[in-house]
Amino acid sequence: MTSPNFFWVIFGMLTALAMHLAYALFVPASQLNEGVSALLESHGPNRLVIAEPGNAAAAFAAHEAELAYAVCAFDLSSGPLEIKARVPDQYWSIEVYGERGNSLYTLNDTQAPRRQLSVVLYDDNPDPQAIVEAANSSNRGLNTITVLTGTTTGIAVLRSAGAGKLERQRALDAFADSSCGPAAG
Amino acid sequence: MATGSTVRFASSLLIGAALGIGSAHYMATPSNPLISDRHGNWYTWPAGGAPDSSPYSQAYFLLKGHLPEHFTEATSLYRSHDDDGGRLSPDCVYLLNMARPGARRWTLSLAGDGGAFSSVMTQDDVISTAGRIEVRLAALPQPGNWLRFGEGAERLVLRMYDGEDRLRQAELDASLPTLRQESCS
Repeated sequence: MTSPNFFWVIFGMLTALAMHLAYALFVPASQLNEGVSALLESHGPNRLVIAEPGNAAAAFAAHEAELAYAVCAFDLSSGPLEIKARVPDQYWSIEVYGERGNSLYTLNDTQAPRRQLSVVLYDDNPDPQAIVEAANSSNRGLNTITVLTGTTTGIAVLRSAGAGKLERQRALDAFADSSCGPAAG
Repeated sequence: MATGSTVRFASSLLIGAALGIGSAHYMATPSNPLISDRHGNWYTWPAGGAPDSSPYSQAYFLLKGHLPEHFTEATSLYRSHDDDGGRLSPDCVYLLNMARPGARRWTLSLAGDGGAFSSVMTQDDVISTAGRIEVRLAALPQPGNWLRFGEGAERLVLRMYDGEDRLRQAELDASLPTLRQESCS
């Protein structure tokens, strides 16, 4: 008499477990994918977009009142990507995320080697010889950082202090001198 | 008989799904004591890349469409209540008292539930006396340092950049801000 009820209780618990895992593992990532898709739709991949009210990049501006943001949804399937950045004289950081929002690389203004720097992103299957040749080419300076991302798609976020008008203008000027695009050989 | 099984199946499925989704959602909220970390009346949440981050702590950010900053970049401390346990309200005036944080940059802001910030102040916006800072949180202008308490604001947020070491120092010095209600209208 009790065994059918016991079966349904176990069935309910297994359903709860499955839904819990599915929600925790997939829903947050799909939320991120929605934001990335909107950014790709409006601006395309491998392009630096400054977050402004109403545009797709603004969705990633978690602390918009105190930080200015610029984001680049990248796709490394057709080759490495180069992010050229000017580092302003105030708080600044670059952070590279994988497609599930996992942090792959970060650097801030106190760690940045120069006022102007390049971060070159390679995918999950880079040719080591190509990296060495690219690093030794005349196009690359000492202020180039190589990042092996282990992924093909993701998003890079530049952040800089932007609480006051002066801070924000410095951040926006630095972003205007920054870019995201295919790496030159 | 078949109808009874169908009802059991449907109810087990619905209850299981509700429990699974509800528990996963709860795990990714600040009220979850298993993930959030309390420091007196303040709480923090593991940031991206932190040794103690988990799919739940990651989900907290991603569900809002945000990308978590790397834990070495900033420490965010939150509170929704004053020192006596009263919920923060724009109808009241609060006095915040703290030692000047040692972090290279810090901000104090009031934020709404959706993450919208009603006001923000940085280390450059405050007057301090003998290393101590007093800030009044209120809807209307106050003498001294004033942080506007706008409608919809529910949480006070203290962010310290390069925060990891500073947070330890803050704990050691017991210098996290106190927040006392002065009056209510």
